[in-house]
Amino acid sequence: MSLQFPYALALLGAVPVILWLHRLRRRVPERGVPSLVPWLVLRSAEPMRRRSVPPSVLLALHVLSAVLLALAAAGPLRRGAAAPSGDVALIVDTTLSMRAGDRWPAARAAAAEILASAAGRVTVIELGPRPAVRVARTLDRAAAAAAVEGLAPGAVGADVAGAFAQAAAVAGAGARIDVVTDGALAPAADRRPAAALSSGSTKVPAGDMPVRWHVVGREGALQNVAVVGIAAADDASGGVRVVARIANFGPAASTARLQLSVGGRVLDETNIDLAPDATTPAAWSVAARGGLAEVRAVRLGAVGEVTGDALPDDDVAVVPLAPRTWYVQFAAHGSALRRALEALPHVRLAEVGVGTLSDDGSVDVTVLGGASAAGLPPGGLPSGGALLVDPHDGPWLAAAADAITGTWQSAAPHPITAGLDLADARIAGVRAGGAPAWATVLAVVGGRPAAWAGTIGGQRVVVLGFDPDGGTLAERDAFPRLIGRAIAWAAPDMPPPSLPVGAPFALPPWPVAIAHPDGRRSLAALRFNAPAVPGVYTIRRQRVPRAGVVEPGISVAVRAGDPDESGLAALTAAELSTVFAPRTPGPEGGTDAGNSPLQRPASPVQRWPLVAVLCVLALEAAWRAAPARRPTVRVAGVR
Amino acid sequence: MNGPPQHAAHDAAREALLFDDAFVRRLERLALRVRQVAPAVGSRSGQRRTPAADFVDHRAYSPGDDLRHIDWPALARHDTVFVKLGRVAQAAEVRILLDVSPSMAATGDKWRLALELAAALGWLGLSRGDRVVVAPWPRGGAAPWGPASGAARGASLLAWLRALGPSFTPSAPPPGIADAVRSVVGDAAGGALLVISDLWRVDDLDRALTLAPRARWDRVVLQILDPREIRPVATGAETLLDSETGERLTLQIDEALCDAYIAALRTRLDSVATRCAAAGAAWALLPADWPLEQAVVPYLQHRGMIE
Repeated sequence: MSLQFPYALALLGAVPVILWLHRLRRRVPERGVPSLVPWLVLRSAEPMRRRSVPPSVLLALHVLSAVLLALAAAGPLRRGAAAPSGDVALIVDTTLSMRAGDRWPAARAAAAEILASAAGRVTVIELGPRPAVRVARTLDRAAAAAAVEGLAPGAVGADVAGAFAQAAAVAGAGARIDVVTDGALAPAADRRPAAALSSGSTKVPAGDMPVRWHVVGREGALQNVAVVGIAAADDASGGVRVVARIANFGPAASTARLQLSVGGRVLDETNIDLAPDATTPAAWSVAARGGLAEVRAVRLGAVGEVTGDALPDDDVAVVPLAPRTWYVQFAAHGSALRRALEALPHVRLAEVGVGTLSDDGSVDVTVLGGASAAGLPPGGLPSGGALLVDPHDGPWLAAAADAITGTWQSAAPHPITAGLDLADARIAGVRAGGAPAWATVLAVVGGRPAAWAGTIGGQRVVVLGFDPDGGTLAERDAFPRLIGRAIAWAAPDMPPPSLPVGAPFALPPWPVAIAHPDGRRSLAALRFNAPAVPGVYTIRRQRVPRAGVVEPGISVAVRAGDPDESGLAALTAAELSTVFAPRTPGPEGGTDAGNSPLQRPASPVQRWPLVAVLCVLALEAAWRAAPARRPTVRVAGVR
Repeated sequence: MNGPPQHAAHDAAREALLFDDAFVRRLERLALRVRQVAPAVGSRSGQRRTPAADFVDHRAYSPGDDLRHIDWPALARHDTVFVKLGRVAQAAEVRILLDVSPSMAATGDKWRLALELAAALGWLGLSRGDRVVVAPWPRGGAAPWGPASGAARGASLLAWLRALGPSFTPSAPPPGIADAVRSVVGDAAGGALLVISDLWRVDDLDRALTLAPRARWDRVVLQILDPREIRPVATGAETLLDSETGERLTLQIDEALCDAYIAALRTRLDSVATRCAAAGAAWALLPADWPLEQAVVPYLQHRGMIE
């Protein structure tokens, strides 16, 4: 016997109250007598042992009722041979691997069979990176079937624990969990090969709910070629280098036709040999600086014909080639800084005054110089990042009494300064006596901080504590790159250019509009959850710095290929029950699709109805046992 | 709560305090046995001797005696002149002290019998020409009835008894009976003192009896108890409420306790009887459920308190 809500046993605190009330209640009848004189002598001879609580059937019934009520509220469960309620929580795997072969049709058939055989209410839960309840505890089989029909596999990653938790919460502890899956369930936070998941380290909060695994698609080892990674980066020649990773999942070597297209035009096509269960990189240099690069890998047969593979969805991946554009507003003096900013590619520069700084989500980085930087408090910067150049004083630095001149010396390694040749550059006008506690010192001059960067109030701030015009730093080729890196580092995080389907990504800290590959548009802020369809998502901010400027937007390419999903490595039902065992694992067992006995021999039997009935009976008996009120006998012998 | 009013009980007893004519005539044939008589003239045969036709004794003739009372046959036999002596008809002082404490009114039977007994004994005295005083104790707000004599005052006595109610003065310690005896006896030379009480809270009975000396007073103590006071019934756990003090006592009244109660009561009653006997007073225990005419009066006759 176990208790669902053991804290309800606190109701047993009513028992002392019942005892106290019975003690207060005058149970001994009172009778008037002419005189106590003849009785007083007997009191000393045979004193009545006064019980603290008069025993009575009524008291016993009251205590019994309180105990039963507390026990019923605690939700006692007894392990039984079958689910007492007949309710079923149907969890359907909608990860990408379900699209392989005939897995999805088999899954739909298995789901339909489960719904038809369910005796009680059904709950349909979609299993993906973020499990979602599609239908909750309904007797409407048509609605449940429609919910299953509305599911579409394609997500990457499965939060099995989350799905089980939702099943327990929605369907109730008396329900049975049926999971329809192909067994290719790598935990969302633990993308290890299936063979390493035999330790049963993943526990699911299903409590005492029985779990049945219905594994579909056990058609044998599958061969699958997939583009599992793609990226684009500037190269030294001014073009873009496109790099892709081609994986061959399966026991046999494969040959794949690899094709690179830009803007719909095939730039390169070649055959590559792929070793079994291995990933092969491929790279191209592309001159174009715009549009989308598409890499497609199609498996070839023995004679070079296109045979395809188990999961065509992951045969293609795209990546945007257009560089990210930063919107920068600039309110500073100094020609060197302006020249460096204007020389930066992919920067849209707007020169403004301090009083006209824009803070409406249209700017990525604000560059302030000189006194204009000193006038702003730490929380007064516009949203986005900030690059402050030569702030004379203020909260950005601990100003020293004098300004010094010296040579640049790099301090801690940092992405902003890594690899830049700035050593021995003459730096003039270093005013800072110390850097703020929130910052990391990037460079020192004469032992005093000359450049630092950090995050304060959620904003990234880079401070160059000197006047670039006063030294020789601005003459270095690395100076514009320093400014560019500072801007790139200070700018808010942008989503990566390429990521697998189903992976959420962070958004800039201002409202944006997202264009989906299927033509839908949505508004979002801070985070975009679960891009469900492979393709290119375009993110545009709601405001642009200058009227008439068409913002190209930020393109995020979502690909179907993922090492775990594309691998199609499936666990057996027994392995699944071990990997995703509840906290108290039961005996191993279970088979694949079509024959799914219970893996846990005992399903909990709700006992609170029985306890509640006993409580009601006890109260009824107590009501009947309570004596009717009668007048106190005042006069001895008079009735 | 002190001394709860037992209106229902004594109202019922009061209503029953109606003597029918036959009972009254039978009462009139009885008399209280009183050794001490008052100098007043009554219908009671006194101890004093006086020349009389119906004689009980002789004495030698003295000049001046009524010649009609000379016993001539005795002269013929003894050659001496003797005068016949008879008893002088005298009256007795009858003092009835009636316990009207709440314990007497706690049961209807006790109160009824007490009133009936007071009425009957008072009527006996009145019909014999005795000077009767009936005093309540504790006094409360009621003044004593009497002194009065003559059968014509019987109705007044009954009316007074009907109007009498128990005294509810809460008392702890209880009022002493000695003061009441002293008050009711007053300056009477002697007579009959009848105490009608349950004697539950009487601690000074010995002293009270000495206030009516044996040489001059015939003392009779009539103790009235309810049958349940004499023999309680096992009722389990009960809280007993004293009708006079309001004190509560919780007891487990079982058979064993009832037996112990009876034994203790017997001891107490024996003590009362012994003390009364030592004081030269008569004592009688009257269960409250005894009917007055059929049981109480014959019993008192048997005990010699009534003749």
